[in-house]
Amino acid sequence: MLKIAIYGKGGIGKSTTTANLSAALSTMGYRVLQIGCDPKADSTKNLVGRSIPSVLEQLQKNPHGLTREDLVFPGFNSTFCVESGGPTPGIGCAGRGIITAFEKLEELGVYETYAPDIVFYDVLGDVVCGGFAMPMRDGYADYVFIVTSGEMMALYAATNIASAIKNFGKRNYAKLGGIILNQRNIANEQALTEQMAKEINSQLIASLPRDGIVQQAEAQCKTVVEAFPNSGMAACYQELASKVLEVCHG
Amino acid sequence: MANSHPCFAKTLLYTSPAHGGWGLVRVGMLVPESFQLFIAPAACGRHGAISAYQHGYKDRLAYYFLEEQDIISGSYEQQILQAVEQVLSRLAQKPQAILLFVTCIDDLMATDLESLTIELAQRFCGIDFSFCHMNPIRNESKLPPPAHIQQQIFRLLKSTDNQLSTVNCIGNLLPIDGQCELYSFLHSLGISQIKHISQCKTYAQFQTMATAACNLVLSPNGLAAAKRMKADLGIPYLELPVSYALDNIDQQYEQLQQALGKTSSMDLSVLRQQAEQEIAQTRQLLGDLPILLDGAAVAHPFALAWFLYQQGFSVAGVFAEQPTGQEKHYMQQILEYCPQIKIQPPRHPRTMLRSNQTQQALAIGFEAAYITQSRYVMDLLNDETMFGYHGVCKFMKMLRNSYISPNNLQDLINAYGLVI
Repeated sequence: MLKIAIYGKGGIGKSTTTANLSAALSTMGYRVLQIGCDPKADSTKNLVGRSIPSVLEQLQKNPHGLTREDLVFPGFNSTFCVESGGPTPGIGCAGRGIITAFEKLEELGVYETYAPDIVFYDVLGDVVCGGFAMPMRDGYADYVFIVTSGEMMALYAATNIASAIKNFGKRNYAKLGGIILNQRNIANEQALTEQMAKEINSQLIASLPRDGIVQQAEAQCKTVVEAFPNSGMAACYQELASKVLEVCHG
Repeated sequence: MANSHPCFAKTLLYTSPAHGGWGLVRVGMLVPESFQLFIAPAACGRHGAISAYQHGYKDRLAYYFLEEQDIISGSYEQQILQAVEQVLSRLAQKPQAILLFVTCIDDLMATDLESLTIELAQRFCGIDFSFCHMNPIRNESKLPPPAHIQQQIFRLLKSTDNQLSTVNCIGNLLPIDGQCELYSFLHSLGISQIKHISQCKTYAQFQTMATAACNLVLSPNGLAAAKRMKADLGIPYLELPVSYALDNIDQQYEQLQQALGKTSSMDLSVLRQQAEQEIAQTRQLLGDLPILLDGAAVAHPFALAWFLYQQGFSVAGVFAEQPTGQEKHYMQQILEYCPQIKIQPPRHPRTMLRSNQTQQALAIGFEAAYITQSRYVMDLLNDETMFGYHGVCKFMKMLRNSYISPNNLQDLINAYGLVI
């Protein structure tokens, strides 16, 4: 089982990229489980075609009698989808929410039962507390990929995430697999991102063009891979999927 | 019939002065040659510190008080390492193991304690480390603090290839009474030694528990430890929760033979008869005296209440939290067949407000005695030292003694060292 965490600044396109990666890998014959680790709980919306109840919502409704089927929902092309969810905005602890959700998934034997080949953790924004660093811990992700644009704040967030991975380097945590550029079409974007990747001793593994077809697919609550399988953008995601596997398998 | 009872609805909780048991500090102190370091806000230390003082452990315990800045800055992990260094620099004799206690705050911070344990062991060679949680926030989880600490103290055992013809008793906090037939029964099955952590005088002796052929789990709080020892050390386990029901005891000895793959030549029927005689003698003495029991005295109060009722005792009430597992079944039996037995959670505020002042009654357990102000109280907590037919005989003798020579509840609480 290969476990991969996708990190990046909020709003940079992590969930879109992750859902398309899951869809692309499923078309390559892999069993994929995607776990959204964002209190917004919208990581898997385009895979399932609708919002699904999060682990924390379900726990609140039924603290002691949850089953795997209450948490894991089927998505496009036999993918499996989970949303950890989070507290009411403005109160509670989002990081603790991720921990609780992960513990529940383990307790219910989700990994063993669904036996995915690949697990994606789609993690909100920056590494801000222990909860958000959970997915990169020993036993969770083997590799972290960072989604960024060439904008300064996105690059700054990417550097922070890389720094967290480096800080935990002596522990058996996830390795940094590489940087995924999700273009915003700003000046010098590729060069700026490559420079940042070099500074953190990593590599730019893919550059996804800005394409309106992504929004068209999202309007249908689908991934590009599902809605426009023959499009150039779908080919980009397929290529990214192959590249991710190549990095992870050395 | 529903598995629950309306009295278990969530509410405010009242903690009586008779509430409590060993406490985590005392359980952790079972590890010989160990030291405890609490990393917590000052307020979290009060209970454990008083308990340690009362039980004579104050030289084996230190506190590193966290402040807000330590929590928000992310320097917490680093501070744990520094705190250990400081403690070691001040101890005349290096401990063999350090138990590091974190509190509910850590549940929110999600410190990677597993990685920190490895780092500590690398930095302070020759000392074993284990993280324990004093986190009542997890009281209702699948691994509440009393179970978690047992898991963590037995995680200090190191894997070995040697497997000897010994068994460990785990879960119980004091060893089974030396007169119990379990010892001779196990000897008859080829077991050379029965070990309990409290009987290990040194850390090296404690480590020999890793060579056991089997763990006998005598209390539900030891089950997580047993599962972990099976995974880490390859020691199989057998659940033998302390029971006072004679048929259950028969079955437990059968289970033991099956688990160890041998048949005993020991005749247990004589012991069963003795236990039956003790029960009859006690019933005759107590007559219709109302009996009340609580969940701190025994791990399975509903099973005991049902058994005593079946034996003709006048069981009047059970003060226990919401039952789980087999205990649910016994609660249902009570609700269905003997509804006159009152079931009340001891910490429900109404339990104290109701007219529970029975006076002319015998309470098994301090909390039941405190709530009902019963005249007689049996000095038992955590099924301590009980097992098998001998346990039943001892239990019945204690019941009779508590009636013939009444105990003073406050003296018992003080002597036991309960801390609220």
